Amino acid sequence: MAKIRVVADSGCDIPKDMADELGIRLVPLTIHFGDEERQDGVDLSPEEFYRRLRAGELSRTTQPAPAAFEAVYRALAEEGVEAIVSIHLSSKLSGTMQSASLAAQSVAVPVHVVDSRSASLGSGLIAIEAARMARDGASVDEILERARAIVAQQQVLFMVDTLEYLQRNGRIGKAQAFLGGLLNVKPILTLEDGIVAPLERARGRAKAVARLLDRLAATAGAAPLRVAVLHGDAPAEAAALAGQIRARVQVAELFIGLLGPTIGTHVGPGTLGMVYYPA
Amino acid sequence: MAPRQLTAQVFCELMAAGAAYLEERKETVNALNVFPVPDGDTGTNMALTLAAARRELGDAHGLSLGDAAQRLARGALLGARGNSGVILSQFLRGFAQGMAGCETAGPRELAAALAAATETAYRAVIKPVEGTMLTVGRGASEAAERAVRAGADLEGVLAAAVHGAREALARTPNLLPVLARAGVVDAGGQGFVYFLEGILAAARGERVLPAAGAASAQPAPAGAAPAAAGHPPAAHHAHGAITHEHVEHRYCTEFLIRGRNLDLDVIRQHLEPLGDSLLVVGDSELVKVHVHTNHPGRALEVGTTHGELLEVSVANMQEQNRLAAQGASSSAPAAGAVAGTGPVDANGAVSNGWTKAIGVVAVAQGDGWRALLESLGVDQVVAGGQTMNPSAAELVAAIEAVQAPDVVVLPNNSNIVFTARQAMELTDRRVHVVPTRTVAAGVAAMMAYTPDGDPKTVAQTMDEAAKQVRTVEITYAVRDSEAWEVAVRAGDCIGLIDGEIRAAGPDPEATVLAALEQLVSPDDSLISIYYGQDVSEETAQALAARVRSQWPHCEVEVYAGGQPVYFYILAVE
Repeated sequence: MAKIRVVADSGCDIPKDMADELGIRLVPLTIHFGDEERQDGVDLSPEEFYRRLRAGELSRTTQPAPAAFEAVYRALAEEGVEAIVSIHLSSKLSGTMQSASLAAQSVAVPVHVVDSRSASLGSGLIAIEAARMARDGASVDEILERARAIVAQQQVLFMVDTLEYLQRNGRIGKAQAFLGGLLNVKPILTLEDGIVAPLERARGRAKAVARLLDRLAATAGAAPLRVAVLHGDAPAEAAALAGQIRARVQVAELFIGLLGPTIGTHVGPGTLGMVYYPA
Repeated sequence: MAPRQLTAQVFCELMAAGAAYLEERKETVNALNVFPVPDGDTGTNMALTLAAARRELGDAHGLSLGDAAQRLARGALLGARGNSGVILSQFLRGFAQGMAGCETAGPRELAAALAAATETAYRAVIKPVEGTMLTVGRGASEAAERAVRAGADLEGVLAAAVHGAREALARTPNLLPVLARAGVVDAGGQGFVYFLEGILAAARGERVLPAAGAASAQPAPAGAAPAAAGHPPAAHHAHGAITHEHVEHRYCTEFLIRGRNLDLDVIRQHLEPLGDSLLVVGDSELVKVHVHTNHPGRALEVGTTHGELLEVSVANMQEQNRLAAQGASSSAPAAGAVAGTGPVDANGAVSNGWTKAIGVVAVAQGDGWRALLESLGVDQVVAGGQTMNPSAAELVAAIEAVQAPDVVVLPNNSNIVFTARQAMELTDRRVHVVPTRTVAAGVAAMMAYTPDGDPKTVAQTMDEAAKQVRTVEITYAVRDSEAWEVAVRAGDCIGLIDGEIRAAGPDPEATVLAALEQLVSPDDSLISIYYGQDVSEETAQALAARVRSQWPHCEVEVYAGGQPVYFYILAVE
């Protein structure tokens, strides 16, 4: 039975203890506050990140260098890993995929790089399932097939408190259309073809959450879902949303994920959303 | 007159008389609106629609009857304002179809054309309601058919039509309960009856008709006020009314003179030497001048010696002829349209200068509303002129100015929904009407708007979003009315909830609270207050504070809409 390991990046928002338990190696993106550079999940905690953001500091992100991936791939090979499945942020949102692909070409161990076409647990859930399958003895092909299926079926819905963060960091995509607006509106967004796209707007957070649930219910399908609730430092709302989701659709498994500094930089505090697909 | 046959010339004169008769009685028709609101405009809208129709018709020089009817219909379709104007324009359209190919017409053709008119009007309305102008038109055309079978001549057919229309009008309160409660007949139906009565009177030679040759003039019983503002100048000459190539007096010059003790005869004397087709109409304080001259400057100078000039327009008729001869007037409507068309590629969007797949046109009055709607992504905000109801042509112009292949139209007024649907028929653009009944519903629709996506789906979602919101409109009553749950006295403030008068009060703020008391439920979470041009920000914020304290479970947002007539527009959701 081949020894297969999963590699992901810090933009996948898998909780540290779960990553450790499943043997998922996380490669950090770099978070910049002005000239200051920190490694997401290594020397920058989400608590510090959100505290600084709410204080008005601005952050940027840069992808890991290929060398960082090479180092991880080689280290795993030295531990006897025979194949690596490396699952990452949408290539349209980040250069992380590119770094991973370049690194994959420079190492001897077979590395299969997967574009999640998503972000946060949209990428993380694929990594979690892949790691579970690897632990349970699945082949690389079986894992890749499942990964592709999830990429195809996965849906993302989220609301942001303000489009400022997306705009400032250049990932606003088609949600550009929702800029401006003299009313107090909350944009409801999705990821389409790997980039941010607008769905609708709502007057205030309460109505936005209601619309997220309506859309979930309308697109859930018949099968029980694997769901991740994502939040930008809004744990109480995330917990409430999780409860409302369970009441509204059939849930096979539900995670609550804190958006770490990598994704948090681009959407800002107060973001609330979900990723879901048939379990 | 007692004409034996209907010719284009006779048709012109009859239309002039019918329009004049209605114009003189438009306030009476306005007052029949079951809603005692300040912007009840059926009479004015119908009169404006007919005025636009007659401008397009011109003097019908050298035309067959069929072509003249066609011109009139085209002008009406474009110039239609308000639901009543739209239905009237559809009657005229059907009439023109009935007269297609006719050089002249006798009683049989007339009755057939009236039947066609009724059929077209009914077909144009998605859900025809009896007890409206449709019923009255049908009364007219059915009576006309009976008269022809009994051997009546032209005048006899017209007389029967008027009689049938009057009978049907009298029946409208039996067909529409709200009319009975308000103690009125249907306003649009009454307008239609007046139109027919004017036509009949002219056919009998009972009225003095306006001087021939100056087709742009309003029908002019001496002393009548000149035409309303904002219509395309000299358009009456644009379509071949002048058939000879060389135009002797080149510039069609029109203007209003505002002054005191204006003497029409003296003004006429001073202008006569300057050209031909002279028309001077009006009264001692406002006079409209129309003249064809090679010296427009001199004509304007004459005007300035009598008073101040308003609404000056000078058009080069030679140039218009040249363009018309080139066939430059295509099927696209003329009123200020900006050409934004181009071939749409297989993907439908982002080609040929399109900036997105779906654009939006919305109707609203007030600078605040304009800014608000534009900030939400509306491409063109249309205000709609003196009756706040834009013509179909104005909507078409806005639609064609949008840089997208699909355009959603938000009429934001139940009296503009028909006009929006009519505009859809008059343009090549793909138009999707989301029938919002208030501007607050339009805001709700914009929440669901995205510039890309499948246009039909987006329009559908916008429609659903608009229906989620309940609206309150606060204005004042212009007369007493017993037709509603609450007693209404002239001068009272009244509150309309989703279009029904359900609250009345001594002042706007008290009426807002009275309306909200009937409307706000524990499930609601947002009350939006949009205050109008007659309300100060302080007053609006004070009202908001009262609303917040009375309904603490709701967010309350306040915005300056700047709308006329309605002190407040509110949305509850």
